[in-house]
Amino acid sequence: MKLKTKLYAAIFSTLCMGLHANTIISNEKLTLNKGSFKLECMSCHRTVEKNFKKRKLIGEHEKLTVNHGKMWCFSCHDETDRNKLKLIDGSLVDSKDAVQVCAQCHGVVKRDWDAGVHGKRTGNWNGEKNILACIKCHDPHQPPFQPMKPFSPPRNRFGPIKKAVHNNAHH
Amino acid sequence: MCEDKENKVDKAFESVTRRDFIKGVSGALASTAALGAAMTPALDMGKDLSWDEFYQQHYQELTVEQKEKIFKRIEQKVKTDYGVDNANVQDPLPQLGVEFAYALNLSKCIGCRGCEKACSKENNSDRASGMSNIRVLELDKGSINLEKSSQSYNPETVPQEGKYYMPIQCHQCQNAPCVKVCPVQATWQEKDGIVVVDYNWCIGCRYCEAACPYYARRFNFTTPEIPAEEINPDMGYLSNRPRPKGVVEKCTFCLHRTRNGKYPACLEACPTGSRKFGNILDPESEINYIIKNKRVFVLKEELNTQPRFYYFFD
Ligand code: HEC
Ligand code: HEC
Ligand code: HEC
Ligand code: HEC
Repeated sequence: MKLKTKLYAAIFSTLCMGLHANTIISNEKLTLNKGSFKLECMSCHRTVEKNFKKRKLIGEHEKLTVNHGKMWCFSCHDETDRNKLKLIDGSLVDSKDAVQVCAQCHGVVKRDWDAGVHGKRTGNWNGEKNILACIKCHDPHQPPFQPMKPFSPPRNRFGPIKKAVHNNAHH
Repeated sequence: MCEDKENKVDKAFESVTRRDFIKGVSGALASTAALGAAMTPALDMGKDLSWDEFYQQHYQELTVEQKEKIFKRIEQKVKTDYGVDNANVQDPLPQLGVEFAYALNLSKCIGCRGCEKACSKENNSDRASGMSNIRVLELDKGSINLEKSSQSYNPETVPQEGKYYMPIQCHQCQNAPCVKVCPVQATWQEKDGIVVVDYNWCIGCRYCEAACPYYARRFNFTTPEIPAEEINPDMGYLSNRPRPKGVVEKCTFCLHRTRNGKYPACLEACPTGSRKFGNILDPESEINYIIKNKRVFVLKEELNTQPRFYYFFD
């Protein structure tokens, strides 16, 4: 590349960065989390025999069950390189790009997510944003959003003014 | 019904100034018993205020220098009242070409009250009464009767089968009944659509609270109690600086954040991503996408309040 073109490219890319310096919050890598330490998938899978059979897993993945349409492991994981996720066309992606996996089947939701309407963005409404990836809210194996304990209820009630005045009069 | 009330109030106070109003409060104007009760805080409010505060001009007439002095005074007061010395009072102004709007996705909200708590913290609201400018209602699926909603629901986990959840806060109405009924113009709509209260001008009559069809205004019966370590030092003069006793407060879309480009605190806190906020005048904004592509509605449309707060299902 000529110096000038390089320069323009650099300017352009910084401009772009300035305009959409958004960060996607995802997980960098696929790892098996065991308490405080993380295991590389391939640390075991270099030696564990591949098994395409749909079954109840034992050992390391004992607690893992998949309940997501009719899918099983290799709909999303590569059978050879376990550190990678696999798209339907066979190409491999890292965990940080897991959105691409989801987008294959959830096109409508993905479009809303691209527009910032499904999922969550934090930071600046007119500037830099942090965008949560799908897997920050949905477990790919059990995708429904998990129920949670609500914060404690408020002590006072607001409503039709008569009630509010009445209740608050006790304070 | 609501209109009647407004008209009456409009007429009664057409030509009354703020000080006349305070003086005349116990006389002919406060004719009904209910009104009398609502007035009590206004009458003893003077006690809590210093001379400077009481005679402070209306916000909209203050010069930059006067504001600076007032901000310093407030910072000092935060230090004496709450033991916090890093308070920084600012007054970010509406931005040109910006009108804010909010949209809330009722198919996603699970009723966790994360927004309610975050609001209280961000806005230095009274902890003793658990004050928050957001209230989350639990409703039966298929019903939209707010009067039958629950605010005190407390199951092990949310969402519950057969229920949906509707957080309510100020709708920053374009045609705001609360602004119209204020007898002293202590509350008004700013250019970016945010309805604000001048806490130093408010006389605590609570007409606005009664006029709001969304139950979005709150009255400070006591001086807000906030532990020093929980004070949010980033304060807006028209938003989250600690309020004195006897004044009304409300959601301001966190203007001390949003006018500086940030998202409101309730949106940041929501784990489900139900809350969407932005500039309705920007065709590329998230909020514009929602208006164009989702079926949005406003609460109590028949009142013609024209909220800037939309709900939608998807
Ligand atoms: C500590 C060793 C260990 C680690 C680390 C590990 N696995 Fe496994 N994995 C196993 C064993 C053993 C089985 C076979 C379990 C069975 O047959 O019930 C297995 C089974 C699987 C299967 C089922 C398909 C097959 O070939 O049996 C998948 C998919 C899988 N692992 C993916 C991963 C991924 C992805 C990671 C990294 C996030 C990972 N594993 C990390 C030990 C491990
Ligand atoms: C819908 C696609 C999909 C399917 C089907 C799927 N996974 Fe995953 N899996 C993922 C994605 C995406 C991640 C990365 C999640 C992250 O980084 O938080 C992941 C992470 C993992 C991990 C590491 C994190 C963890 O949860 O322990 C293991 C192990 C794993 N998968 C094993 C399996 C096994 C075994 C199967 C089949 C029984 C399976 N997966 C089926 C998409 C899938
Ligand atoms: C190969 C297609 C496919 C891929 C890839 C896929 N999904 Fe799904 N997903 C489905 C199907 C089919 C359903 C419907 C399951 C059902 O109704 O039981 C579904 C359902 C869901 C649901 C709704 C669950 C509920 O019942 O509320 C969520 C959330 C979801 N997927 C998230 C994801 C995420 C996140 C990813 C990426 C990690 C992903 N999906 C990848 C096919 C896919
Ligand atoms: C901020 C958290 C969050 C993020 C990020 C997120 N979702 Fe969701 N999603 C939800 C919630 C909450 C629901 C509604 C509850 C449910 O059905 O599980 C939902 C629902 C869904 C559904 C069910 C259908 C629907 O529209 O309600 C699908 C499919 C889905 N999400 C896929 C995705 C995909 C794909 C991504 C990434 C492109 C993603 N989600 C990112 C929170 C999130």
